[in-house]
Amino acid sequence: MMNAVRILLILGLAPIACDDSDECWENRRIVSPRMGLALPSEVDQQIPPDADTTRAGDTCGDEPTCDAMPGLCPGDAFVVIHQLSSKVGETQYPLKLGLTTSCAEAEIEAHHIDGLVLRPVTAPPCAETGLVVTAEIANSRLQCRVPPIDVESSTSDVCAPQRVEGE
Amino acid sequence: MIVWWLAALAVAVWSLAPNEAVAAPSAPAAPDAQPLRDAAGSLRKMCAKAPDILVGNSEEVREAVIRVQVADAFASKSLQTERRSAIESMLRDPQPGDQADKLERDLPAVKRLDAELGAATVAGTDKILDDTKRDTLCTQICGDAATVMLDVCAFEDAALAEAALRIDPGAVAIVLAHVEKRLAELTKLDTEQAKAVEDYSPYLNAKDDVREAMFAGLGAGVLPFVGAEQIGAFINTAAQALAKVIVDRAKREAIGWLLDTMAAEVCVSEKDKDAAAETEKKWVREEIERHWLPNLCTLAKKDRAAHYGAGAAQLSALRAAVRADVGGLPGAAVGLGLGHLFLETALRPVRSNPRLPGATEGVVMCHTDERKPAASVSGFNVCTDALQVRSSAEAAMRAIVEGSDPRTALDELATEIDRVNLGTTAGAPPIGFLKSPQAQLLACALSMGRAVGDEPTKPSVLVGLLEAPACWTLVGSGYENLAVALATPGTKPVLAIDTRVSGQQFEQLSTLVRLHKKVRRPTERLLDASKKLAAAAKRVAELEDDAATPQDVRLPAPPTFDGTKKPAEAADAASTYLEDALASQLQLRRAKHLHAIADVLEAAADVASTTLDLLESVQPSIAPPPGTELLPGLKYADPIQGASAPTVAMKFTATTFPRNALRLLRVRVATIKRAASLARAIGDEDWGRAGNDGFALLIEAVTEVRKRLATTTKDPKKGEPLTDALDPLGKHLGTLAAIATAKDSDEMAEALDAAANPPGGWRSKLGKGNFTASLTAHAGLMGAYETRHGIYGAQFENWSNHGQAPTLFLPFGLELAWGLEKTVLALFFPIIDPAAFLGYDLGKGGRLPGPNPLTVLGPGIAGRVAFGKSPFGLMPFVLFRPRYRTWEPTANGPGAHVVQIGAAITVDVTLFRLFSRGR
Repeated sequence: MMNAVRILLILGLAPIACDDSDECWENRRIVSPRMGLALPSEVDQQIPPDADTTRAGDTCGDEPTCDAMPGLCPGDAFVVIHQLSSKVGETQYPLKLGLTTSCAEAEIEAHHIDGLVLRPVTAPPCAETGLVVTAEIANSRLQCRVPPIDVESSTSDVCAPQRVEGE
Repeated sequence: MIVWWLAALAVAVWSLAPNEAVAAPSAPAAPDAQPLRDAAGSLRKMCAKAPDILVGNSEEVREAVIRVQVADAFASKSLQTERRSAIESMLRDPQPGDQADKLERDLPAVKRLDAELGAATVAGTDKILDDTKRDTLCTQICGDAATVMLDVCAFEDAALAEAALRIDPGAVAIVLAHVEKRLAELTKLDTEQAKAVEDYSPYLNAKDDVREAMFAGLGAGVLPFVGAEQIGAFINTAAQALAKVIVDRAKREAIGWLLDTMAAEVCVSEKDKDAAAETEKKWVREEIERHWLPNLCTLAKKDRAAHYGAGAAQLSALRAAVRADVGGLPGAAVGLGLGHLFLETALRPVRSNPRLPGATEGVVMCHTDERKPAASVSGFNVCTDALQVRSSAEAAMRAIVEGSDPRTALDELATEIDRVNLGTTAGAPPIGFLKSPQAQLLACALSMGRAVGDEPTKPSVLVGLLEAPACWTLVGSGYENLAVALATPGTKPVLAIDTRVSGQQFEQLSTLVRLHKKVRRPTERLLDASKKLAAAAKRVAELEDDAATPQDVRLPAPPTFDGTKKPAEAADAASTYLEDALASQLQLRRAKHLHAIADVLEAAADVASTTLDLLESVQPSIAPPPGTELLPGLKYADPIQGASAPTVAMKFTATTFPRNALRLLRVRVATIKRAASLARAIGDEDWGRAGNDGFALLIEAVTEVRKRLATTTKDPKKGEPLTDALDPLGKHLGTLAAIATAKDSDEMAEALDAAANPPGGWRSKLGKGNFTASLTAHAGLMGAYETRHGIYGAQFENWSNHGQAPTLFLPFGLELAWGLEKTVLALFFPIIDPAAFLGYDLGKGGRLPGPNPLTVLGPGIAGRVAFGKSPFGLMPFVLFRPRYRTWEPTANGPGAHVVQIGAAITVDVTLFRLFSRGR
């Protein structure tokens, strides 16, 4: 009976309990995975609080984001961050990462550990013209877009051509 | 509920089990036994531990193995050119020499193998065979030691091999497959290596021969899988057997439940018996239990009927009880009519007389009143008498429908009525007084069938009025019997019929003829009826004579035996044939006999009817001079004159002849006559017709009694409970007829199952005032608002809202339905929804729920409004589907719980009625 009452209360209150504007995304009605990109040196800033034991108690801290990522040259290292809701914990599904540039496509598979994927990736050829990183798992498909390098504002050796081995 | 779960489980098991067992491979009629013998011989050699055979050829074995290894090396792409040439050369020249030696140096694998083979030449076959495994195998399949499970080696014997293949080739194939598999475990050689040396190894010979035997015996390509198929067939058979057991059990549970329901609805419950108040319900139920369905209700006491839901023998006993009750329905009807007639007329000859104080209103109440002293009137307990009359009538009618001579049975009934009807009191004549003149007239009429004799003439018919005891009470003028009257001096004015009739000369019946001129025509009609009765009785006698003498019996064609059946099967078939043939003959004779009995009963009823006409016609409209009355006994229906209180003026003389009562008497006779059709139906073993005829008789009798109760009590509702009692009986009549008709327990079980779960159950929910509790499925189309909670794929849904697009809906659960004037309102509590797998998620590209063990669960609550008087309806509902939304199939993976609020258009499929009230 108590459970029935609880369900009815939840049914009644759910629509007004929280909404998409909630700051704390863990408490939103649909708690979806989150994705972000970071340079290796900046990974720590994007690890969500639940995944970072050093910041216990901060329940509404950072979340992964694509926004802070600058343009990349081919061969540059960056990290893909994929975070599941703490309520989901672990899934049985692999995370498929897709890297797409104007001249290359690559697919990488990763697995969550404690709901978190921190996957170092090397930017593929033509990354300087822009890169789309797609993270797909079960019923979630997220994308981050890395902007192209602004050639006009950059020095000519920002993305020096890679030396081909043997040449 | 348990019944349903059993049934659901059975259905599930049944659906999982393949409908057709995998057939075992058909064996050839006479497979060649030689390969089997060869295989057995090889196995014996292998098990004889004869390493000398291999050791003696060890060099050749070594060479052969090296050649195989070398051939493998030759196939290698990385082989250098010169070595390749050397190998080619060696392979062309099989003699090992320098080249081979060189190869051995260059090919480490060859050297390693050779070293092993070198060891083999010293240590026997150990390096090629696992001796321990071989010994284990051999102790199981070869020889006659105690550990041998099956002596396969014994198939070396030609006769034994031949016999084994003829009797059970499938089993031989399984054994060979097993042996081959075990043999394969013995060797360390791969296929090519084994092939190279097989000619030198008894083990390899055995392996090869076993394979050959398998293929030769049952066909290539099939045999290696025989074992698996056999096992599959066994599992399927076992699963089907299990399913059948569960289905049978579920059916028998249903049958037991139905019988309990029938018993509770039509018989007296223990609760009723304990009731302090004498309620109408109680006397009605006692009426059913004692007279209408005595056998079934006896079984039904204390849930005894439920035990008849299990076992063929018990079902047969139940069938016998039901048949007895169906056969007793005419007796119940005739007994009710006669009993009520007696009660209504006893000690109340004049209709206008006030009711006697304390008298019971109807014979149906006598079961409760008979225990009360207040029911007696002036020292006479008319209830006891009425019940006695009723009991005698039931016995007589039962005897008739079972094949007794109706003339005898009716005469015995008449004699019993005569005995009960005569009371003694102060001032009464020696033979007593008549409690009910009407009953006495009827008794006289009923007894005339026997009194008219086998060759009736006009005198003999009239003399029957003297010889039948029940008639003598009316015509005997107070004497005990004719002999006493004749022996009494000065009896001239006493007897109505002249004593000279003892000579049976019609002209000597002076008194009758002289005083009662109207008797000629009724007498002729009585004579005609009597002749027909005699003819009908003669036919019965002829049938009995035929049965006593050997006749040419037409038997159906016996079964043919073509020699393929085993002796036991042939014996069983012959026995079944004989039983069927005899049963058919017995049934034929019984049918003829009962049809003839029915003819006699109809003729006897006609005689009774014409006798009533005669008795009515001889009664003068004015009082005749003393000593000239034809029915002087009627004047003794005046017992209480001068008696102490309660003094009731009772006048019944010849001038107040109960002409009004004659109509009732003729109705009773007509009821008896109609029982003939039931006898015919029983003779034909048409229990459906018998049940209908019997029930129709009962309805007529009950309706008549109800009318008379309403008239005598001036309360139109007085007899209604009695007619209401017919409803449950009529409701179950079809089931009773099906039980009685069933030829065996399986048929009976099917009939009961059909009765327990009839199609069109939704109809029973219709009608104002009806209430039905049932296990019901609703099939339809639904759409819903859906809120989810839990892990769905990679997302956690926290009571998020979605829509469930229209999809199939098949909820099953408990329904409580109330019938209204134009519709049905119902509360439905679904438990499962087998169509839940089709709840596609439109927001995720139409993805279906990943099946898991909880997917079909859908507990909840629903309302239902029927569209008029139809099975269609609108059903708003709320369902909770646990772990319903799972991304992929899973046994115990995560999933989101779902609450659906929606509506469906459904069709009511009532599967099992648990309780119903109303119609």
